[in-house]
Amino acid sequence: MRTIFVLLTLSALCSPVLTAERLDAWLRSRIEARVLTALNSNHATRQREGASVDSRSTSLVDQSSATDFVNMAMTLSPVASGGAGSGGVGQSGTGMVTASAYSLLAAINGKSLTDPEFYKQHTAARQLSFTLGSTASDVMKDNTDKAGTTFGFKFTPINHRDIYGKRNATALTGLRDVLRQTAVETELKSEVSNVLFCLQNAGIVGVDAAALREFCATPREAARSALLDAWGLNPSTLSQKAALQRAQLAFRDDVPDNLPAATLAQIDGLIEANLPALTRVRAAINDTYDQIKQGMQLAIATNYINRPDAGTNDLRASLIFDYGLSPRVNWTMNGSFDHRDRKMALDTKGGRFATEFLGRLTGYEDALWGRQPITLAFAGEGKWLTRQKPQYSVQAKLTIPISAGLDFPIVYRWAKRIDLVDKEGKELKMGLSVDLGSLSQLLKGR
Amino acid sequence: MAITRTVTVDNPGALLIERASGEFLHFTLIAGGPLPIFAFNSSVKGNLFEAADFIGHPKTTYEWEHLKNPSDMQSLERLDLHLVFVTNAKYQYKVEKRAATGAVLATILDISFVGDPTDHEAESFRLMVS
Repeated sequence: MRTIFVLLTLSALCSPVLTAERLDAWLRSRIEARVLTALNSNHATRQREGASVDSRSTSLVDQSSATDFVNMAMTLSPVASGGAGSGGVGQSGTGMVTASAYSLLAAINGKSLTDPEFYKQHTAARQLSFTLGSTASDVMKDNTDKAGTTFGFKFTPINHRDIYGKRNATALTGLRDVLRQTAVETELKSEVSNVLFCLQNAGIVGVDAAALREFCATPREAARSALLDAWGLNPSTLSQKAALQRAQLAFRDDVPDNLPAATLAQIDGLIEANLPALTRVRAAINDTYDQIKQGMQLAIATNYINRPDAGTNDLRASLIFDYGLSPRVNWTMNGSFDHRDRKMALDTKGGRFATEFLGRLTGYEDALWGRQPITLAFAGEGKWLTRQKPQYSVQAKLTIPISAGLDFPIVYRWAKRIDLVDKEGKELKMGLSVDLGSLSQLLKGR
Repeated sequence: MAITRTVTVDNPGALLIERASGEFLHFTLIAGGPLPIFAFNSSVKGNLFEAADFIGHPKTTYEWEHLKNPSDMQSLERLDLHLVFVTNAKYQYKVEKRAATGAVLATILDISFVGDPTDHEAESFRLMVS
C-alpha cells in the first residue's frame, strides 16, 4: 500500500505539466472574463501641442488642461501648404515650452513628480501652467519675417478630473469601501487552491488516503486548518500533519494548463457563487475611472505673441470647456477674444469660436510612462474680426506616439478664407510634441 | 488591461512560520503615486486594512507586520494584497520573514507591478504554521 502511495505521489509530482500559471493571475482572468465590461480610457485629452493663437500650431482648438509637468511642442513644417495656417513653406520654426506650476514647485523642492504626498498637497499648482515659445512670422500677414515671442498662461478653476477634487474624493472613498469586498476573492482563492492542491496531490507519502480525502473534501479553509490542528494533537497522526504540510509547501499555487474539464467546471461554480461581490469590485473601479476621465473642465487661458519692429502682436484670451462624452471621446469648446495689434495699420479685434471632438483609437501601453494612445481629432473654427470677412477653418488631426513622451501630430487643415486673403487655403502640416516629464521618468526608470 | 509584473524574488506560493520562535512577517509596499489604493486581506479574518487606514496616507511607503501575535497564526491562512491602479500606476511589494528580534531571516517575495488605470491585481501566498 505504501509503495502505491509513493508511486502516486511521484506520479503527481512528475506529471507532465508543460506550462503553469500563477493562481492569482489565472483566477483573476477567469473572474474578469465573467465580470468585465470592456472599458478603458485615456489621458490623451491633455494638450501637448502649441497654443492655437499661433496659426502654425497643430492645435486648432485649445484643451482646458495642459500637462501636469513640462511639455515642449514644435511645428516641424507644413509639408504641403496652400496657406490655411498662413505658415507658408519654409515658415515653420514654431516651438513652445509649457510647464505647470506644479512641475516647477517639484523641481524647486527636489521632489518626484508623482510623489503621493507632494501631489496631494499641491493640487492647485497643477491647475496653472505657463507657456513660453517662439513663433515664426510672415511678412504679408505679420508685417515682419522675424520670429515673435509667445507668452501664455492657463488656469483651470473647474477641474473634475483631478483625483483630489471633492467630487472625485467621494468616488474614491466609495471605491475603497468596495475594495474591502476583495476579501471574498481571497476566500475564493483558498478554495480554488485547495481544489488544485488535491488534484495534483492524489496521494501523499505519510498521509492516510482516507484522511487526505477528508481533508480535500472539507469545504472551508478554517475547517481544514482545524483538521490539521487535530492531527497535530494526536501522536498517531502527528507525522501525517507534517507530511501534508510538506506537500503544501511544495505546492506553489501554480495552475497547469491541462486542467480536466470537471475541475474547471468546479472552479467556475465557485466563481459563479461569488460573482455579485466580484462584480461590484470591477464595476466600482470602472465607474470611478469613468467619472474621473469624463469630468468637466473649464479653463481660462491667455496667449500673447510679441513681434519685433513693426510686426503685428497677437493676443488671445480664451474660455475653454472640456467634457468626456465617453471613455474614448472628448469634446472641447473654445470661445475667445482675439486682438491683432497692427503697429502700422488699424487693429483688428473680435471673437472666435472653435470646437473639437477627440477620439482615442488605441489603448495605453503597460508601462507607467509608456506611449500615449493614437488619437484622431476633428475640429472646426470660426473667427469674426473687425475689418475682415469671417474666417472658417476645419481640420483633422492624427496624433501618432513615437515613443513615451514623444508624439507626432499630422494635421490637414482647410480654411474657407485665409487671414487677409479672400481665397480658400489648405495645408498639411506635421509637428512634434515632447513631454519632458514622461521622458525624464522613462529615462530614470532605465 | 495588462499588468507588467517584474519579479526580483518570486512568490513561493506557501511559507513556513515557526510559531514557537516568534517568527513574523514584515510587509513593505512602495507606491509610485499619486494616490495608492490597495487592500490587504486574510482568508481567516477577511479584510485587515486598506491604504486609507494608514497614518499619513497617501504616502510613498506603507509598512506593516503580521503574526506578531501568535494567536493570529493559523495554518493554510492566505494573505492577499489587492492593488488598484486607477490613481497609482506602479507598486513594489516586498515581504520579509523576520525573527522575534526583528532580524530579517529571508525575503519571501519582492515584486513590482505596473498597470493601466482600470487594472486590478492581487498577490497572495499561504502560511503553514509549525
